[in-house]
Amino acid sequence: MSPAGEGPAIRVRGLTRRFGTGETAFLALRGIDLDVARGEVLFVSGPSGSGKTTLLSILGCLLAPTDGTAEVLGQDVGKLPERALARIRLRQLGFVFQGHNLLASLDALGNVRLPLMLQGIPAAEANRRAADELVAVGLGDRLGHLPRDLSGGQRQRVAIARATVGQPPLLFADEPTASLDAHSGAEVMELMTRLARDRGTTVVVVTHDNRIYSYADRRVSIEDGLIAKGEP
Amino acid sequence: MTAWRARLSVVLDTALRMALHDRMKLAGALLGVVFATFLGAQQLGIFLGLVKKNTLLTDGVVTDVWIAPHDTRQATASVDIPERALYVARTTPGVEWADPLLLASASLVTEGGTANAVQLLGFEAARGHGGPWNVTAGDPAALLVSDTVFLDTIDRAKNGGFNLGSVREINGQQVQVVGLTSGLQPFGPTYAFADYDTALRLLLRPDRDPNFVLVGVAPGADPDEVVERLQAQLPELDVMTAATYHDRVVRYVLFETQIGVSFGTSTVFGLIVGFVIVGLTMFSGVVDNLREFGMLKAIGATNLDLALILFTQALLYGVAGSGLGLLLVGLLARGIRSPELALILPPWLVFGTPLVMLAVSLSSSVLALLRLRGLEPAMVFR
Repeated sequence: MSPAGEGPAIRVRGLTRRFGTGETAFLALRGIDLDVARGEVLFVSGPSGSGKTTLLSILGCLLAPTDGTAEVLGQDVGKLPERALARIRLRQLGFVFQGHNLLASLDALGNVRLPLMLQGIPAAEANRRAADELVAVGLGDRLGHLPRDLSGGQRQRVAIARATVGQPPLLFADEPTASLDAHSGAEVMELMTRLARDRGTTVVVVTHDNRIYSYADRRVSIEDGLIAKGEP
Repeated sequence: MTAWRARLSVVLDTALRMALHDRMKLAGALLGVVFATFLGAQQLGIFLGLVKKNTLLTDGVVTDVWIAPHDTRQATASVDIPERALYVARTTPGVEWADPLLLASASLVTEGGTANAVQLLGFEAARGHGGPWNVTAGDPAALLVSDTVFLDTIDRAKNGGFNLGSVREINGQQVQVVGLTSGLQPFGPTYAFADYDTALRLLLRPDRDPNFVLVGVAPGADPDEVVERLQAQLPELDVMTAATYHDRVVRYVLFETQIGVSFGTSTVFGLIVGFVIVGLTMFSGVVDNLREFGMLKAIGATNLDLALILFTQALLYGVAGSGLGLLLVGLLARGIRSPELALILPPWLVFGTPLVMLAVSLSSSVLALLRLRGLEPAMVFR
């Protein structure tokens, strides 16, 4: 899927997600409408429990909506079976998590080449591309380091390299700076948005770190499962 | 094909690195398999050694058919059978030869006066059937001379260090040692061999009734048909092929003594312990690394990929653990191997044990796999 393809990268209509049943049922999303243009860097903010992570999970093909439609790169992901969703996650999406979620047993190179090899790219090429990506995030001298031997900022940069190495058209980040100091957080955001803009990647960042709002093209706020009024 | 190879290689590589990274869990899982392998193979090995002891007579005596007392289930000294059985056998169509065999306990006294039990086998030395095997010195034909015996070297020290030409007493009568055998110790005292007439005399038998009749089937005759003919003429006795007698003894040891139950229980217990330890280790490995597995699923790994990771780890535990376990059993077998206590590790046991342990390891990974199947990849955002 080319970032320059037809229509928005994300198109959400009436998106609803309910957890639980009966009296304990809880509506995390209450009919959200949202469009994200291709190549746009969108920040989603809001208080804890507002539904922003649920939104990210659905857009990231990790969670099915209860109602409404969520079109990601032109595909209604609410109607696809798990196997197809796994294929989309592997080939078209990149993820940067709050906790870097690196495999502790793999070195930086091993972590970054993981999605490439899962795509079926031969080891030699995967190693070359993973090494290039680590150089791009400034970790060219840390290829053989295990996550435990890296600082928090370096780990998050490895996670970014893992998310971007396959050059996915869509990148999701969940509180990518939450566990970093201001300097490291700025470095991580600078890096992520630079790589995204260079490649025309659409980026959706969930955050309530107002220190990094300046990196967004647009910011929407979610409250009680709805996009706050006044924001498209 | 290349794509699948790349995917498979990264899954296997990740599985092995994850398994090797957590040394404590690796040690725990290996310990489980090593323990199960060791216990299972060692118990089975000793059990096979005991079975071999019990079938020493049926395995060592070369004959096609045995005629034995009614309801014979062991290869030990038992009641006599009428000498008539010998003549009936010799005149039955399909029989090439038939010879008597005595088997009875006797007391061997050393020069110093110490008495030890032996199991005396009396056979027709002139015809040779039922004679000594595993001969290390002497010629069985020497037993044609009266009051001569073959003794087994296992009891050499216990019986005063005898050698060819040594004189001992059996049941109070002097005999000369004219031959030696090695390793002929059944489940009980060692075998000693003597000519039939000598044995009758040593055992103070009032008649010539044997304990068994050995029958050789004529070339071209069907052993089963010969057995049927003999059985029809000797309904009060058991007539069976050598293989049947061997199997009957094995079945007796397995199902009618405590030995089979005891060793079987230990073996099954070992397998259960291995199953539980490996299963729990793998399950706790999954629980401890849930975020890592969730991340793998989030970036596009399928349930099949995760299953391959678990199965690869199970294979690692099964292969490495059973290899270590067998090595330990092998060392133990070398250390304790003797005619008195044999730990037998036949090829089927050596090659079969790792297969069983692989099956145990793979099946014990199912619990962990079930946990992963239900894993929501969205958990990585929590």
